[in-house]
Amino acid sequence: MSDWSGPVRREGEGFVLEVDAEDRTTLVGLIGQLRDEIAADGRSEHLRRLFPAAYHDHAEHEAEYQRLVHEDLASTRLASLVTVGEVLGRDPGSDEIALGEDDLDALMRALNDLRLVIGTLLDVSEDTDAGDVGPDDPDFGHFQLYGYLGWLLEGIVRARMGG
Amino acid sequence: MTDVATAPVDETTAVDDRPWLVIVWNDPINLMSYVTFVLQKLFGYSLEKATELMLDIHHKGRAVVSQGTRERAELDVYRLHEHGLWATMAKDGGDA
Repeated sequence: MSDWSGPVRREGEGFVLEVDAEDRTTLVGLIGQLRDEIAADGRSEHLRRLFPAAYHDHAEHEAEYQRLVHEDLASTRLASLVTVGEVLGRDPGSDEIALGEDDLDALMRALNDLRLVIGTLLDVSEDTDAGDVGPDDPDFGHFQLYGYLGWLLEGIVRARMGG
Repeated sequence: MTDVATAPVDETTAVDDRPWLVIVWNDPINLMSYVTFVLQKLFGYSLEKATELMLDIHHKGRAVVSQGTRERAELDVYRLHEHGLWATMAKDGGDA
């Protein structure tokens, strides 16, 4: 057992995610937005980290890879986001959601996708310190969100690694 | 560095047995714990091995996480992209 009391714990064969109604609404909204954007056009600039190049030194192979694989990657992501939307809609009156390993991993990937998109929009770099962003900063809300998603993701990873 | 312009390589005649390397690059967004977990999950690495690779990625900017045929490497890259890691592939000995 870890002494870090995170938002996710193992219970029986599965996991339990603690999330209150407000956070749940936020997550459902963000995931729906990302789903719609990928469905509409996965090639927007701020989605670039979700669809990176595979060949960094071979333009011809890269073009072929993108032609063959981009749609697959987009549909896998979409399917995963749909699953996560459904999972977050469970037990609507409760602050806890019971979920299996596959659903938890889908949620983990979705949270990481959201961080990649928001981090790209915020132009996060190695030097970025979210603690330096004050409430007066126009990006304050987004940094708060970015931090929250990171905390939740860390909680999932710890629960998954923590046997 | 190879001067590509003066050293054309005909891939149809040259037999090239060098494996393809799958490289994960450092990025400022992905959590270190997440990268470690994904490497364990996708490649079955021990926590020690996955942590070592993650630290290489973090400190050296990149690390080779797997290698093999082009098909195998493409599949690994795809799975890494599915998990949001910044992965590319290149021939061993190339500009990796």
